[in-house]
Amino acid sequence: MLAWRTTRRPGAEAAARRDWRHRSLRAVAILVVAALVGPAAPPVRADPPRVVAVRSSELPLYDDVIAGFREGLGSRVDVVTLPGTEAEARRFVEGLNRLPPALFLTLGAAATSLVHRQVPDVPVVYARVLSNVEGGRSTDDLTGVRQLVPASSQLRLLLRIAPRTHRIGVPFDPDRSTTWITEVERAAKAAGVEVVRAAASDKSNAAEALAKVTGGAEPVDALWVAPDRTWINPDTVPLLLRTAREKRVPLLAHAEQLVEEGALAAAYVDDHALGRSAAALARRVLAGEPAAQVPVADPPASIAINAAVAAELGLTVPGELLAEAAKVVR
Amino acid sequence: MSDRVVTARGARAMGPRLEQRILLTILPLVALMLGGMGWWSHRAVRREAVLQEAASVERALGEAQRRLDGLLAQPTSDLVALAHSALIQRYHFDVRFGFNDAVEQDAAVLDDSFRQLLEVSTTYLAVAYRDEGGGVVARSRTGSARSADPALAEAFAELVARAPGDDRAWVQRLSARDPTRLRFGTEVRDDQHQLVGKLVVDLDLRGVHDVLDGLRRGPSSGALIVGGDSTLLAAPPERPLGWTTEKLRSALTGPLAGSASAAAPMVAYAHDALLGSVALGLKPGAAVSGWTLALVVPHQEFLGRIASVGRDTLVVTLFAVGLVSVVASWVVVRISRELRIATANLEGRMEDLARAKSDLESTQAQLVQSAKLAALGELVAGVAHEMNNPLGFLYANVRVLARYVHEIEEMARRGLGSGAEGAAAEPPDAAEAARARLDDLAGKVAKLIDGCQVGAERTKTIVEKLRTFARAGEGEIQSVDLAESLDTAVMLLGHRIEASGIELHRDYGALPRYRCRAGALNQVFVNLLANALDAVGHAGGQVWISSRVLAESLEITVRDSGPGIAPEIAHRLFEPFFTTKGPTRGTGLGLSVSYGIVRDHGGTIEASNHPAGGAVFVVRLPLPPPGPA
Repeated sequence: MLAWRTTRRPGAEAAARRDWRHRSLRAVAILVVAALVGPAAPPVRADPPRVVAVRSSELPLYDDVIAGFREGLGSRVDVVTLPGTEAEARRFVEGLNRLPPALFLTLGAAATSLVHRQVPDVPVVYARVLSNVEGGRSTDDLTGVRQLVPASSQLRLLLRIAPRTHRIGVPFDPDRSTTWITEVERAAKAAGVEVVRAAASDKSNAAEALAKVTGGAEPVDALWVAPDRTWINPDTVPLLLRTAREKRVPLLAHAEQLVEEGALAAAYVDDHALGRSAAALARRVLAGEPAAQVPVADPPASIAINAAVAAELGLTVPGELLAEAAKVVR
Repeated sequence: MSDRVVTARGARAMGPRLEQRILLTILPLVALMLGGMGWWSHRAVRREAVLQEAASVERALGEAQRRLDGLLAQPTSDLVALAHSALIQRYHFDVRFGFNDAVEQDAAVLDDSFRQLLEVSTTYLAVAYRDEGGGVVARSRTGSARSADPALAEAFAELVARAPGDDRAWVQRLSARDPTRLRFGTEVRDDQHQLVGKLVVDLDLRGVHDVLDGLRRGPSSGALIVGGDSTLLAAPPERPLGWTTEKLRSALTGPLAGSASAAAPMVAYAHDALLGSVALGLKPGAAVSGWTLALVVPHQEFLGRIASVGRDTLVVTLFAVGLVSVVASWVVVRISRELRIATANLEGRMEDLARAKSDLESTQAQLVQSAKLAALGELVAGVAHEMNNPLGFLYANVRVLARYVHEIEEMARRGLGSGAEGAAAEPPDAAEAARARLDDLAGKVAKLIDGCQVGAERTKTIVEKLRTFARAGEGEIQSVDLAESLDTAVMLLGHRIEASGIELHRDYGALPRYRCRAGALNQVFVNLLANALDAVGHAGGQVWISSRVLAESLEITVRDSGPGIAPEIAHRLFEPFFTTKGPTRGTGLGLSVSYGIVRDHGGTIEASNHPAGGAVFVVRLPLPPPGPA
């Protein structure tokens, strides 16, 4: 019977809470020992280096990454989840430092930040981190796989379907996607495409910013929405889709879900493939290559195409692209 | 008027007691009524007790349901609000688009909102959200889902592990022993109605115990809560009287369910003879939460409670009825006694009144007789006047006749003395002279005798008329000539007419014979004529007597030339003892008696003033006259 489901007199609440704290501490210790000490028992033969995956939470998408990572690494990976409270996190880090693994796979910004800062001297391969960790470069003990497909790849996808695109409107949040817009503009310049910024730091300004780039004397040929929460949220996504449909311009996105809902195409990251990419980096680090010399990798891109939207826009999707696409919405 | 007054004491002493008779009559009826009322009261009270019990149960169940709904209302409201909140929707959106960092931020915010819920209300034991992808945000009073405690993680996993059903809220009981631990959940759906997650809250509804305890109707009764899926959500430690939750819910919602009464329309009930108990519960729809709140009472206890109420009420009712009966009997006795006293007094007064009436009637008869005597006295002078002439004439004739008889005797005596010896001695002239004288005397005597016969005849006639008048009171109905009656009246008052020099006019017309009490009508005519003579009173005055025959009546009018009738006394003319003649001349009964006589003949008598002056009295007699009385 679980304590929080048993009948308890109010007077016994404090004692029970102390008892549970004690039991929680003991449980954490057991977990850490089971995860770290157990595998570190004297080997009979040369065991592969121990790798611990630390996930920021128990999100199921982390499981796909871990599965790909295990598959790519070909060895056992222990998985732990970052505790929610600071006290538990502190004890958690203490356990990690007491018996450090050979390499950490960190999933999510929270786990990556904590492990990178609190567990020194253990290389970290991160994944599923949208923010630009350490400026996007590897350091002495930190490398990883970016979360987003490179902007050039995404633009190339758009141009393969809509080759007459010359002006592209880019809705983005200047506070959240500074690095991303820079990369976009660089890729666009290289491709000879003009970028028209539609900057909005708040979703309440999104409609106005969008109207500016899609209206006027020189409307844009396409829209390329930034993967930030200012623009990808329950209120703004319908606005984007409605505007693209009304202005009859293709919408390039970063997620297959948007393609399902009406965007033309997306070059997105498959979590299983992401895990495999991270495993490749981990193998290099575990092989002794300094993490600083293992550059942060771009993720492999998967392609999603909405053929129905393309047809509505009068665009022809090349057959080889359809064959290449991981998901085609018809 | 008698001074006899019956007092209460006197009344009690009088004859069979009235109240005894009344009570002897009423008491069996009262006893019968009391028995009937007792029987009726018992039935009515029992029925009313059932209704009252049903209404009481309904009130109690309704109140309990409101309290339960109140206990659930806040968690329900909180969960529904959370399910539709932007926070959850954002969480789901970020999960869907793979914003794992954003999801973790969302989860932290959600976890913080759960923490606030736990801090605000002690009802909450734990709150959790699990998205359809398997992500869990949960917090209990001992930690959150992000805790490293595997036991707690297991608990949270169990918390959200319930398989999704529909999007309605569901409730499950957490402990078989503790009905106050409930788990309440609801599903979260997006705007496309796609299931995206579940929100669950574990509740500590200690107040349920108070609610259920408050529902108990007796030592062996028990209240319980059955969920929509027949799950026993709350019950006393002892399972109530053998009712399974399925059976209970079926009984209260199925076709066997009945409404306890119109007074408690929301209460359904079911009685199971095998279980020996009665289940009462709110009908479906009465509860907001969708639970069935039921109360199970042993059948005998249920009936005993009603019977107890019925007995108490019956005793009170019978006592009240008995008290009312005693008071009513006392009132009856009092009233009958007073009534008897009043009746006795009334009877005494009626006897006095009858005696007074008899005296009055006697006095009235005497007065009437006096009036008749007065009228007779009035007439005696006339009679004497009428009879004086023939009697005087007769007397004078008799005296002359006596002298003639004496002379004839002398002549006879002398003739007998000289017949043998004296005849020769008488000279022949003397004898001749004697014979001539005798012849003369014989002729005179014959005339005198004729005169006497005429006087006697007239006297006889007057006496006959007087006898007719004297028969006035005999009431014999006979056919008479009314003209003759009027003439008789004139004759009887003729001396006053002659003495006063009043001029009398008679115009009888052709009056038929009329069947009536002749003497009585004669008195009327005499009275009217006497009044007319009194009114005129002096020489030169005139009195008119006339009559005529109409279609359905005959009319006799007596009019005079007197001063007429003063308006102020017109309405009193026929009142008894009313007179304007002064105490020495009139009794005031003449017109009153006349009025009664004419009325007895079915006729009318009216008085008025003639336009030319004087009074007019009109007697109208019906034609044909009424049959023999």
